Amino acid sequence: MGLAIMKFELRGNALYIKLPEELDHVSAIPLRKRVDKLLSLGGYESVVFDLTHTTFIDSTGIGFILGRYKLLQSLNKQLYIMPPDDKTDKVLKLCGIYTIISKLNEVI
Amino acid sequence: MDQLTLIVKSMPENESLVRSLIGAYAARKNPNIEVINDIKTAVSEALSNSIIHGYSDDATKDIHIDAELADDALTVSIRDFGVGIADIKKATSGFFTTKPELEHSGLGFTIMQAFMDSVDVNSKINEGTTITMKKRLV
Repeated sequence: MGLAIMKFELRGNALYIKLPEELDHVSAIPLRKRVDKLLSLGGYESVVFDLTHTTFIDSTGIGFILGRYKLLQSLNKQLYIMPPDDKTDKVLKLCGIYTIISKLNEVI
Repeated sequence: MDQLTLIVKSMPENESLVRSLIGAYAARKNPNIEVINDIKTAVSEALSNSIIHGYSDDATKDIHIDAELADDALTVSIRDFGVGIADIKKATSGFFTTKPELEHSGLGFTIMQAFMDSVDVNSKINEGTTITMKKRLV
């Protein structure tokens, strides 16, 4: 599962990265390295984490999102989130993710 | 008594297995999907704590899971025999983590407390930690 294919796409200046179905203790650690490598390549102005296919997020997954947010901030790039379904989004809301990261539907 | 006992090794891969199993067990009482999801998330956090903190990722160690369905509620205990928690009050407060370099958010207990009706932490240094959580199902 840790070697699942990471899907990403550049739309205009925005780099869309599709996050896995389960963003948890198992998937977040290998994903961190791969995403950071991708982010280090540049060529984008903002990043969008697509969570629309994610059905489970734990505190390690939240740590992953916060870690990338900090990294992108240091690079002067924006991070946006396409939220998961309501029951999964509960974790992101509880952890206050949306107080620092905007949802994509609020941007357009 | 409707009870369930499981012993698993301290491996992250067991988190999804155990949370799905406890979720399926709670589903016997026909709670709504959100309740099951809350339980799965909280169980997963408790197990993560034992693996990462209790046992420092030593996959040879055992974690005991006891679950019980009684009076339309689920009670689930996750027990490790690891290092224990020095300051429970500090450990259960939001954004506290002993391992920030690993990008743990320090929100595990916050999630457990928000998603379950009660969370009880019992811990002794070098003896281990037991997290007991309860959730009404109907």
